[in-house]
Amino acid sequence: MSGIISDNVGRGSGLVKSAVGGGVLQVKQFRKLSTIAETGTSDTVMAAPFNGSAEITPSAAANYIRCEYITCGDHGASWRSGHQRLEWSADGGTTYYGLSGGATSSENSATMQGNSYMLGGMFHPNVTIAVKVRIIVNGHSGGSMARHGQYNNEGADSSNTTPDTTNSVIAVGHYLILTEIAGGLCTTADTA
Amino acid sequence: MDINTFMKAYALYKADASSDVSVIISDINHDDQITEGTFEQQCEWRQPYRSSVAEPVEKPESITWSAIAAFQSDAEEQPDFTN
Repeated sequence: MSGIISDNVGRGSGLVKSAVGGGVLQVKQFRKLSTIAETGTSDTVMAAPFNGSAEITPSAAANYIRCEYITCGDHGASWRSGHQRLEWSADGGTTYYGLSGGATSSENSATMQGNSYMLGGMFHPNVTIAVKVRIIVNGHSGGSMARHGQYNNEGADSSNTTPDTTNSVIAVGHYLILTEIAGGLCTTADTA
Repeated sequence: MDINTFMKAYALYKADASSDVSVIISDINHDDQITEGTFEQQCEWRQPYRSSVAEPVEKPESITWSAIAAFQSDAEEQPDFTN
């Protein structure tokens, strides 16, 4: 069983309507509506909801959690660089484990608007209690990012810019999606 | 106070107080401002209290709006973050 069934409804309009056949058990999205000011140059837990407050509770210990996180580091009057790391905890936040990481670099003199990057992956928490997911940010010691989730700023990063809106709905610059997937469908392989 | 000035003022306060508590500010009102009235809502506090990772902590009582705002004039004299 693939877990996804497509019935072709609406294909003529470009819309493919799909039904889920038991593999995806729950999907939780956490959007951050505002931009974040932060300039740390050592490991720092990101602002809410990327601070471990985003939780998902597996319905069975066999199930896996898939993560999708996207953000943007704004550029500055001079170069900006840094990295982030996605972590999870299955014991209420006492112990965290790494999952994936990513980096951003941008420079105003190169006429950039910033740099978006995405972290993700899948893990097996092996619990049926709330699983926490958080982001660690760590700016470059010589030119840390100063504005996070700020994708629509053409000037320097000396101010916070309101994200674009479409019909008054904010198009965010950072979000996190957590998905519980039936364990029987999942495998992970780590290669040295 | 605009958020950029607040960040610089907090950096001055932090150095003056020899504090290891850092701040993250969210522009929740989409106006690039932070005030005494919105200060508590907009700020999150971080401290490396159990490892080298700066993790969420409650705001220490010693950190107040007035303590930070006292550095506003000095902060306004500082250049923006230029690496």
